[in-house]
Amino acid sequence: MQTIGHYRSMIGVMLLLLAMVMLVPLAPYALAYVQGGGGVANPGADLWRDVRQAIPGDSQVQGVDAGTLISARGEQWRQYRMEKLAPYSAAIFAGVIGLFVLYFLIRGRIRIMAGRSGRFIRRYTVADRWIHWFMAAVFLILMLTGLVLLYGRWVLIPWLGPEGFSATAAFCKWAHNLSGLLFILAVVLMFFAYLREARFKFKVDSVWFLRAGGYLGGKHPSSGKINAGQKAWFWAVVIGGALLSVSGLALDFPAFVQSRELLQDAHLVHTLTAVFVIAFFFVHIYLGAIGMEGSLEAMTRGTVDANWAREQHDLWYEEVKDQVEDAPPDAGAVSAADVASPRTDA
Amino acid sequence: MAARFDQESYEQVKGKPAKPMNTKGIPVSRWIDGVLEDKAKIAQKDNVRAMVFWGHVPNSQTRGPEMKTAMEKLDLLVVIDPYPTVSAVMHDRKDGVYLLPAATQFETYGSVTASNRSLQWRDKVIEPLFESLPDQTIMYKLARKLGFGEQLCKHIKVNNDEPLIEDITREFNKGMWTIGYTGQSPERLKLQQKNWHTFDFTSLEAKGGACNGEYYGLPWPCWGTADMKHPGTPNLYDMSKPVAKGGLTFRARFGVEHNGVNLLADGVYSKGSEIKDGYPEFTADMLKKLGWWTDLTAEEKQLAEGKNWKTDRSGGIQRVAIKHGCAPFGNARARSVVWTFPDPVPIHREALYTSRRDLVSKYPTYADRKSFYRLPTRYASIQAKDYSKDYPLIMTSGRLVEYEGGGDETRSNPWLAELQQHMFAEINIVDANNAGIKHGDMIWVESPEEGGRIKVMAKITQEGMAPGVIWMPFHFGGHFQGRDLRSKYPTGSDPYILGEACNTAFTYGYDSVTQMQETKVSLCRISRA
Amino acid sequence: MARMKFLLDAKRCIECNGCVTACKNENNIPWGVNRRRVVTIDDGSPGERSISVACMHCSDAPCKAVCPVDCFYVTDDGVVLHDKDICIGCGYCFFACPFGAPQFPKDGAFGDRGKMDKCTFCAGGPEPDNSAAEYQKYGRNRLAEGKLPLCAEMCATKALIAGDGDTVADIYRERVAYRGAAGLSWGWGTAYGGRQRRARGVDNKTSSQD
Repeated sequence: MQTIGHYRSMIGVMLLLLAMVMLVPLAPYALAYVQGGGGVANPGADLWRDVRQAIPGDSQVQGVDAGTLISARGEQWRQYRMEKLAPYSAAIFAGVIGLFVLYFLIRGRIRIMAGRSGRFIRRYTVADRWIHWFMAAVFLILMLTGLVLLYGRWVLIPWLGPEGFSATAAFCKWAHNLSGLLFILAVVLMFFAYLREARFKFKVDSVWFLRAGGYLGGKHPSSGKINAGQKAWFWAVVIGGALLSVSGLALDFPAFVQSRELLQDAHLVHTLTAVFVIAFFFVHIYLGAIGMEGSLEAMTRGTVDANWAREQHDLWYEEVKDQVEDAPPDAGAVSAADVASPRTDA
Repeated sequence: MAARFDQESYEQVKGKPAKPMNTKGIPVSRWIDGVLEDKAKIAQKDNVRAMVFWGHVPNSQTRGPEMKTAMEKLDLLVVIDPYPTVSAVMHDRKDGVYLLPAATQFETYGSVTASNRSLQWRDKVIEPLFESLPDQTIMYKLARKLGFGEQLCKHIKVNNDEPLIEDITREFNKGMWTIGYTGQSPERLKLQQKNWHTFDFTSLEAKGGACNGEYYGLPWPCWGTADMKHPGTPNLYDMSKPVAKGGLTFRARFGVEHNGVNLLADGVYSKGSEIKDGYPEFTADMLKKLGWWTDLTAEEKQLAEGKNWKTDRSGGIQRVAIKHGCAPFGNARARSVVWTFPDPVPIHREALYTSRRDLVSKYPTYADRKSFYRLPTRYASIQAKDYSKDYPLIMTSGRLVEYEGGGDETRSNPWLAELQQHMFAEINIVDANNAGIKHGDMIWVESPEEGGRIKVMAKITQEGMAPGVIWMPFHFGGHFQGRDLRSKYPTGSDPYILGEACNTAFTYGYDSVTQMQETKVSLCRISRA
Repeated sequence: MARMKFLLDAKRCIECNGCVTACKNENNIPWGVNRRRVVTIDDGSPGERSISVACMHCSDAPCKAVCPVDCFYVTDDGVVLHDKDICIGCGYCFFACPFGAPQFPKDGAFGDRGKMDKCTFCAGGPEPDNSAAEYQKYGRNRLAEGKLPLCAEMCATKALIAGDGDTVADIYRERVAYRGAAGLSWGWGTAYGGRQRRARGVDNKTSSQD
């Protein structure tokens, strides 16, 4: 029967032809595969890869990084500073300040609920206050000069012109670099001055945190001489201060063997810590000087109203209520009593 | 003074020895032996008593501690140089040392010869600083002091004690026939200087302009008198060009035959040569035989009679030879067997100080010589001793790109000095680890030379140096055996960078033909300082 | 207007430091400040390469971006310069530069670095062209005289090329084409046209190692 069988060979040949037509153009690729690539890779590729990864070579020119041809880290640092640090910090500062403006507009100034009693308790000694204001002054200088160095290019050049701002920035750099050393001293002094009060007591402080210090409504939580928020601020200053000091020293004395990488890292630590501390500083300013009646005088005159003490720091009030006095001592006067006043245990 | 070209005074003749003044002198590499060697063993009547270092740096010579002793033994040491050099500080003399400041190349003018044989005329760029004087002035003043100043400058105009450089140039133009320094007159060189821009960078030929057809710098040999206007010879022995156009055959320097073998060229000759074969050096007689004598002018014939291409002051023999397409010095073959040398064909002779004692018996050095360049010269007696146990590493020396020579000038240049701030020894990491030395450590490099110990920084390299060998640059000076001599320099003249001279440690060893010092092969040991 | 560029042919650089010396001399740079340097990778090993680097006059210059006092400016032909009278020596440009171009003359306490100094492409600074003040502060202004940076002019092997970016690109293209061999075209064996020379029978060396 002459059916498909007859055409078997013809179909076979057709299929073979089809296969050839499709496969033959692939032959060069097969050959290349067999031969091993069809070309030689650039032997210099490894060397340039090393260069891009900042693996150093040698140079007759002396210098810490002279042997490093290319370091991409510089560009990463530039992006960090210009595209992250500058814009985000501005947002954070504006946000924090904005929040407190809002808070003030809504809640207003927090008054002493029972009103002023007219009777006073000594709270901070002369030494306490000197150390605090020394730190405050140094910190303000550092914060303001630091912010000028970060933001001045956009904010102050239009106002002062390039030469005027250059002189300003040069002064700020000097002030910042010199005050930095004073800051180290201030951190150390502050650490020893307030350490005893600042130790966290879990039972009292956890409650204070959970109740947000009473600032968002609700019953005022218990607190010792300084509340949990103030303790947190203390540790922020001490730990942040330590980080700022160490990184600051690396940046302040680049004469040693610091590489670019080390300086970039130091700058990163320094600026991130500074943003955090400055933001927290705005909180401290608001709560310490603006938003609460009766708080600021604790650090200016050294005394507080008895009612303020009972409301804000009840546990401390219980310990010192027998030391309530009728008349406030003269603001700023240094008497033997002040200097010799016994420390109260929180 | 003896008569010009009085050949007899240079040779032992009629039983009389040649005058010492006319025999090979003590070379610079051996001057210290001239001072320190037993007087009876030197082929001159006394030790060397005074040295004048004229543009010489002592840290280019070996055996530093012995050199210090020799400097201290001299009656007189004079240093003529723009820089005080290590000569000023190496010794501990308290008197008898004179530093005469010489002008640098920028503070004078005249012709200079480059290593491609081109001569250039250069101009003064700055008046001499301080009390510096050009070399020619110092030479004239010295000659005058010694009583022959007039003779020295008989044909040279002297203005305010400075011999006129153009006249000095004309002086060598009149006498240096053998290497062809005769065609480069001051006028031709100055003309080329004004026409720099017309010369091709690759072929050196001027294309058009006032110097058309000349080669830049009239490279010697530039045959004949300046009037002949030979263009100079840019490539030696280029037979594709006529001699008149800068081509050249190979000189017949070694005679016409040796052991029955013809030394002249066999059927090859330069383009345009009328003699289509080899030929010897040209003499007056040879010109006559060739029938070319009549080509000379009357004046030329007078001076050329009985002379040859080297002694004919008219330049006529050279001119006529070239006119007929021939090179004045003949057309011969180069030789690879130098029958006048101790080793006619170079063979390996193991170094005097070697760590390969197994090669010493197979490739021994020469026998000691009683008198060579006037001095006893040792070879085998040094090689006989085995230093390799105590000094197992080979030491060699070489150049740095930033510094040149003894280094006083370049180490005084702040741009260069900043790039190479430390004398160092480059050591393979295996040898360094064996000696407990890390990269940057200060180490002692000690050699068998008496007192040959220098304190240098260790530069450790993984692959740059083979194990068993250390390498040092030779450009440093101003430290000596660990002592910093900076305070001894005259105020303000100390180079920015000082360091040990590696040749302080290099040892005895002198070439069998030239007495060149052995600065490339010796033995040492290293240890942490 | 031309846009100025540097190009370094890494297979021709012989680490002679001629560019470094030329720059120091022409601009009278004090000890410790190095506008240009030569870096050698794999020193002593086969495949060793040397690269001469100074300021690359970037289009988006990181130094210019981070400067707190905005003392950098870019000329019409793309040269990045700065004003030393405005500079406060804070060092931020040095942190940001991938090539380490900014240099400082001092390493005093409290970050007293002095005014930043760097390669100017021999184009001086904001002072009047070729004035004494410009020379004293910034070095020579060769571009104002119609010349090119001296480092490239002095380069012994023409490894370092400087000038109009289009011309530099042309030279690069020419060298690549002349050397042939696609990926191997930027190679030591071909740095002076090895393949062409071998074809003419000038030398018999094979290019074994790139």
